[in-house]
Amino acid sequence: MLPRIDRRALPPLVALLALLAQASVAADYVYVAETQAVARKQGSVLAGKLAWQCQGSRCTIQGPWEAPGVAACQALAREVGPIRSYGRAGRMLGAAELATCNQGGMVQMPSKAISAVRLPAVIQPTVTGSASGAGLRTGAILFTGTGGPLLPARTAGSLGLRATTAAIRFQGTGILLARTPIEPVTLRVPEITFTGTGSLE
Amino acid sequence: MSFRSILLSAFAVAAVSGVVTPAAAEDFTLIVPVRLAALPPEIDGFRIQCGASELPVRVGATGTTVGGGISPVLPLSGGGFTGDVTIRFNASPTGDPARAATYSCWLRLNGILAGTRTEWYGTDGNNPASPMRSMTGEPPVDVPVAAGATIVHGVKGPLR
Repeated sequence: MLPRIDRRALPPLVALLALLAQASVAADYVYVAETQAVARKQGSVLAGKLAWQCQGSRCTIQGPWEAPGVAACQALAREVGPIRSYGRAGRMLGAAELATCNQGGMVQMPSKAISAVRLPAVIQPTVTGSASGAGLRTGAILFTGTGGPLLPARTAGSLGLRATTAAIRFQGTGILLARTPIEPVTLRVPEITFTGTGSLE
Repeated sequence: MSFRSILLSAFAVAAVSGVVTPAAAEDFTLIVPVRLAALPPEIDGFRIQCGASELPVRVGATGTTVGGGISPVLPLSGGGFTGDVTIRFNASPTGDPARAATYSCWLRLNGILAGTRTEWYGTDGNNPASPMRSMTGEPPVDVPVAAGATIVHGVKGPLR
């Protein structure tokens, strides 16, 4: 005979079963982040709570995350430099998400668009949201300009203003960094070798 | 093939293989012996990338990169290549060449997969025998390895 279950206990029980089912089928994905230049840190790189493996301009990590997160991308970019591509096979961050990733979470708008704001304009500066796993989806940021030009049309030179500023002077040291001179290093490294089967099958 | 294109190709190969001596030596010159064989027809070239960093080599090390360089895509002949690839580079403007302690060099295979040009990399920088994988497409595609073959797609060691 089955035990009697209090009906109030059913919803949490169902949720627990769903979580267990999800955990049992969770797959690991290989995530790859390509940096725009050689990564500033090599080897094991801790970005947020994630330990990436970086070699050259490529960082990899394996984990159960279904979709790439902009927040995790930002954490990695802070450690290794701007990111060129980020995600796993079939789920890559888009251009806008990559731009947000490389701006460290700041949404940057062209200065001309900002200057073009005139009433009535709708600006919603408050953004709220919650972090979930490795991703963060914020509330929408709205920006409405007038669509009109920044300044009234005028003929070039019609104001006739002319000014002479003080001279701009800058005295450098002639070098970017004080470096210790070195003897150039020439090294023959161990062999790189790969023998395939002649086919990708 | 015209005489001019033959001359240009010869110059390109010579430049990569280190025959042409630059006027001033770069901070680092790494000569990388490369032996590739029996690669599938989808893979038509490869690149060698090298870097120098500050920390001593150890598994899982995190080191500040001093500088790095990469060869152009070099063509394969009959699915293979045997020869030296020389990578010359200077420390980056923010890197101090005197602090460089270690080098690392690795292989990038280049080819076309499902109509898209792509590259195959080693999946684990700390394991030079890990699979060479292209992330283009679903699922990712590994390059099969000949039975018993020794695979070394990355090397690292002390610079001095």
